Amino acid sequence: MGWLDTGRPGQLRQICTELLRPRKDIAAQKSDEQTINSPLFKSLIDYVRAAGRCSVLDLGPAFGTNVTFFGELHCKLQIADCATSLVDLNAREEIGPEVYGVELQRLLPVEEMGPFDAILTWDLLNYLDKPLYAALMTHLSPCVSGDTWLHAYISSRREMSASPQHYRLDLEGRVVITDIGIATQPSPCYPQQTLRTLMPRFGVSRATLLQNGMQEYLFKGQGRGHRQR
Amino acid sequence: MFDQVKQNMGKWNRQGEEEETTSTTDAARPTTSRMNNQSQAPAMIGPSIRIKGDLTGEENLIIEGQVEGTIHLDKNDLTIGSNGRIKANIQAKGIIVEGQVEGDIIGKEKVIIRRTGNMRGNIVAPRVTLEDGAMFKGSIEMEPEARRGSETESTRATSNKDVSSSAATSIAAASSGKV
Repeated sequence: MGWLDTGRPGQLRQICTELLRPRKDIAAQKSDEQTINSPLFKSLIDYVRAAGRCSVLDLGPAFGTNVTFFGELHCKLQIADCATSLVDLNAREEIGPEVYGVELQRLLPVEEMGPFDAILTWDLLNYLDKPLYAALMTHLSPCVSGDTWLHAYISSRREMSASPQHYRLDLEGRVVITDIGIATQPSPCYPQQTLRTLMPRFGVSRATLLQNGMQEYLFKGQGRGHRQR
Repeated sequence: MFDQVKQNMGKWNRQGEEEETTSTTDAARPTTSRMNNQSQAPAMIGPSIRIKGDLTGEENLIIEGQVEGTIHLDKNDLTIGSNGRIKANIQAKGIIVEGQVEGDIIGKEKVIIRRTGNMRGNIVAPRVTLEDGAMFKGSIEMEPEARRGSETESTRATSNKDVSSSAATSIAAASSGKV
């Protein structure tokens, strides 16, 4: 480590300092919130508003405005707050796909939740390798019917935020990204064909590219519906 | 510490209350309101108290200790203070969570999870407020019938019909690949 003290490549010292910096400092660098134009999410909200009394699964953390918004739409909102746990699970090399089912059951006991009308994954799926991604979809499948919609932001750029971002809704239902991180990591850039393979219970209903480089997807569940109209 | 909790309990008693997101100091509160709070001082379970079993009563209650079992205060308000640790299903008129709760909650009027609150369970109430920073994992179901008058409901039902057709069209267009 002596080379760090002798003034040798300052760039290396800077890199090391950056790597050793506590997460708190990184958090302090984060900029303010950003409202994004998310047309497919708006379509989904239109559907939820019209259908009434929908059951919505939010894999992200709890936000008061989301609770208020879906409450006004008479929805039952299931807040799983499992994104961070799933990313941690994905990173644990000692855990293989054979135990994903058990871990997912612990984090997301879906059989107690019933069929969902909408599943909000936000940008979480980008942070899951294929085995965990597929395991999550298998785990959700008992709660998926022909009436289920799944919304996701899939990164189309080479780099993405180093951790899942936090998404909340404003009172008009627009999507706001909070805690916009500066640190980045390589993105898997899952192509649509891969998504189809990983999500056999869903079909791509609609996809559109957003200004922030996210491909916004609206998936529709396959099979018979659970809603009687 | 308990003063803040008592203030919260006082808020339940105010007529025509609005969403409270900021704490009000005693000095800022009208004298009459403070007197009312004193006359309806809630019962308290202190931080060193541990209870296992069924808790029922007919007065407002603050819990700063530990309770495991069930809590029924159907006509009264319950505050789980920042030191409170609850492992129980709860039913009360109004519920404020500032501490930890593991269990299902039924609030007849309102449930508020404060920023210090950490809850795992399901909530059913006409109104639910989750402050930013609060930890919550579970389901939230607001019962609109209790929240709104029947006239408003019928108006909404009519307007929903209109929206329904347009949204169905929107999703149908989506299925055909139009963006």
